[in-house]
Amino acid sequence: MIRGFLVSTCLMDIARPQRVLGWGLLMVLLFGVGRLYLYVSPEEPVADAYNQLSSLLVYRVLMLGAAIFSASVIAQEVEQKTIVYLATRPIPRPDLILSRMAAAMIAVATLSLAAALSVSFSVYGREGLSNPYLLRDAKGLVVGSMAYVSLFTLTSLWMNRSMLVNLIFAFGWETIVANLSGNTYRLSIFTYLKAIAEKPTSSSGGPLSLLSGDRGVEFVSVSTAWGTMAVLTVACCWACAWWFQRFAYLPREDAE
Amino acid sequence: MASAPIADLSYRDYDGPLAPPTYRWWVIAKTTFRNSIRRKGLWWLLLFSGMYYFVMLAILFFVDQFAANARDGEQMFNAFIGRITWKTEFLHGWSTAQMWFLLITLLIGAGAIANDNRANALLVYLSKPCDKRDYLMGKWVGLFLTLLLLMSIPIALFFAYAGLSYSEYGFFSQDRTVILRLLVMMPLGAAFYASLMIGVSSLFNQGRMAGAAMAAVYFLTAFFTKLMEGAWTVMQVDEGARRDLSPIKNLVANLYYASIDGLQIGMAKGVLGTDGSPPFGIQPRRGEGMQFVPAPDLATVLAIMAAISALALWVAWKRIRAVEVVK
Amino acid sequence: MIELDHASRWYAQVIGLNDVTCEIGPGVTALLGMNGAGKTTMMRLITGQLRPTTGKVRVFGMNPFANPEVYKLLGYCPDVDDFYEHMTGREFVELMARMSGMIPDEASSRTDRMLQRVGMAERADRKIGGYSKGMRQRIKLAQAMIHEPEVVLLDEPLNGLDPVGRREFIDLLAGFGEQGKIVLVSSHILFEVEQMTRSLLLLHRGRLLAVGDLRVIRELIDKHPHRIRIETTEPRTVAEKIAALPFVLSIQFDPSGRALEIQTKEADRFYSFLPTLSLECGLPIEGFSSPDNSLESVFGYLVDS
Repeated sequence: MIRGFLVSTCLMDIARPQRVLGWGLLMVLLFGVGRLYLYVSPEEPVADAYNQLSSLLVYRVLMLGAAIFSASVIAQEVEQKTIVYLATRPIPRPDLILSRMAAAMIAVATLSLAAALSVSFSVYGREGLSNPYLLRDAKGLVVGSMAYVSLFTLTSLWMNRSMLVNLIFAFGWETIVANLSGNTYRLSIFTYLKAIAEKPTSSSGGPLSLLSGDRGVEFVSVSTAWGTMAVLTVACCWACAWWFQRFAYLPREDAE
Repeated sequence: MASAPIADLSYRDYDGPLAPPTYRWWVIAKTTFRNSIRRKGLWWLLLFSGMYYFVMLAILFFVDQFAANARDGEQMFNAFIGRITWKTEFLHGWSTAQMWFLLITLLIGAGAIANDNRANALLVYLSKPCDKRDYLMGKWVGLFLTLLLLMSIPIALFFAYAGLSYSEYGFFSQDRTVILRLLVMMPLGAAFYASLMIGVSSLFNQGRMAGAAMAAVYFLTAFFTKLMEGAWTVMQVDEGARRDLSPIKNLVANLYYASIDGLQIGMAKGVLGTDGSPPFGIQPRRGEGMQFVPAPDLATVLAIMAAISALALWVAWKRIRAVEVVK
Repeated sequence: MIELDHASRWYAQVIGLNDVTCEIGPGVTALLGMNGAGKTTMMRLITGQLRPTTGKVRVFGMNPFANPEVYKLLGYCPDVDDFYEHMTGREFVELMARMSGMIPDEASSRTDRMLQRVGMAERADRKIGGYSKGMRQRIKLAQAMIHEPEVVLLDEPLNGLDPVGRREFIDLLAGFGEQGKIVLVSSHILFEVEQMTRSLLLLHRGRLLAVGDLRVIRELIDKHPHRIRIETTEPRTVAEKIAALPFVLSIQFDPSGRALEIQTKEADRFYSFLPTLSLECGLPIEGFSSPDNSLESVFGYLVDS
């Protein structure tokens, strides 16, 4: 019961009206970008356009959302000095952090699914819900939210300026490594999410294929992708719970 | 009753003149600058921002070394160097460094006003003989100077090395005004980032949230720019390089610059006077004869950047208050 | 019972707490010290926010670090002035109550009662962001006691309270102490602490300087003579009588001409002599007091030494 309460409390904090408004505006912008892209690429098949936009924008919203929301799990509490209230409640620390992580995962998944819907409606119009790639993307986005939030929460427990590191990872590492040859591409979470979402390879070449992670030659199988993401998520969650249980988290005197 | 001082000031033993504090903003700027350059992660981000130049220097060095030992080495080297348009190398360095410049801006500027909001330091600042103008100007100048210094270091190093090593290969003769162009480009870029960051920082009470907001705007608009670049490339592949721009291509060419990244690149293209060319002048196999997105009208880009900067600073001006208005 | 056994805590090269051994039992105990003495460090060790670098800390026999069983019995009113500013006071206290394991109805009713008790019932539905310092302190106290803990730790709880609020707070804490709860209050405002309790823990530069009853501590500081002030209309006559006493070290006349201050190493002997002075010599003694028995003087003596 307490875990459910923690999840709901954290979700209510994340989903405050001003914040929802901001993200809502983003969905509108994504819709606009989708329509614009169709206008400037009239010959491109609708499915290709959706997949291009999905890889380029929706998965980036996922990564960005994960970087921001994972900071609200513990790092934000430390920075605003309210960690003292959480840490002195009769709640086991693993329960506390895992519940808050669950809330962040739900928020990120909701946000990225909304982004996918927005892009789908912009490209497919009223048939946006029956877009065959939407459900596949939903799998990728839900798994991605769990993987990214658990990883980014772990980095936020380890270091003070984790958001910068998480952003570099999300927009630097994930963009570049997914395109590398040999086995290096396996070090990118995006590689596995694409496999889970069974995303078709972009045929356009150029910078879009680079940003879509399609420059690499090798791809992982769906089962490998599921397994790897499961292991990564569970390992990061366990590490977060162990780390938070083991070490002291005090209100930080200096504001970042 | 004759007017009398509120407090008995007889304990004061200084009788001299009191100079007006004319450079209050400079005190704030110096403090901001000093605090910024002390941040440890800053120098790593600077290193990454100059990666294009370092890689280029390394390639030039090794090609030079190789050519010195090879048969017909000089001919080969001349052919290699002859393809390089030096000012477009600066353009490439500038555009690849944008993400790192943003991260540097976040690191040193996200909390510039947000942290003062949180700590109620504005009460302290504005209770001194220091008004909003001094505070805002001081914060902006401090951030601007830091960014300018950091942006200029890799460019200056590359300029110095290439100038010393390749002056006879056209480094100066290709465009004698390149140093002036760089000296205009860097402050414009630094000023734009500084203004945006100050404006965003003033909206929040936590540096982290301000940084998140700025990062969100940057990255999502940057990917929009990439989307337009992709659309441009697709149009080029089938149509060839010499076809007249259709209205859609014009729209794409303009929308390419509709982002923070795009504005910085557009400004750099306009100031340097180049549309861009492949790095080292080497055309990719698939992109033979492809045009780069043409440079926008410089006046338009500068006007947009100035308008956005002014808006950001106006927001900051409105948000800077000594008293918290409780709703 | 709170026990510290040779507990030390280092922050890199800085010693926060240095080899402190003590036991804190039921009643109100004051944790005193200057800024940087180690009071907050000690509070954080007891509340399980920090582990000791060496030594042990026990609360009811349990290690408090990240221990939910301890937190069921412990309430903490921290010195930080930060909250979830977007919440109302009621929402915040109710949140803390729910996080203490209460079901919604119980949390709600207890919140109402606690807000009444701390004097925030009428203002609890405003956002915390608009609260004054005193109101924030009251909300902090409410969240610390919402689950009726056995141990209450308060880090500088009187900061920002108006005089009436302070009086109410002190009475509230005294009430907890009388119920047999362990109340540990940290402060550097000595005269307020004196009103709360005579049981002290005195820290200075991370070390425990003294522990126990104020008077007992004072008596143990034997190298500092006691000062006793005598109010009388005939100070010089009184001085003449007491100057011959071997245990009187010095006599000083008050500028008002209606009092004198003596210094003695044997305060008890002098007190037993005073009635003789008054009755047998017929001298008008209107009153006497000991400035030395104040906490401030005890603190000063201990710190200076």
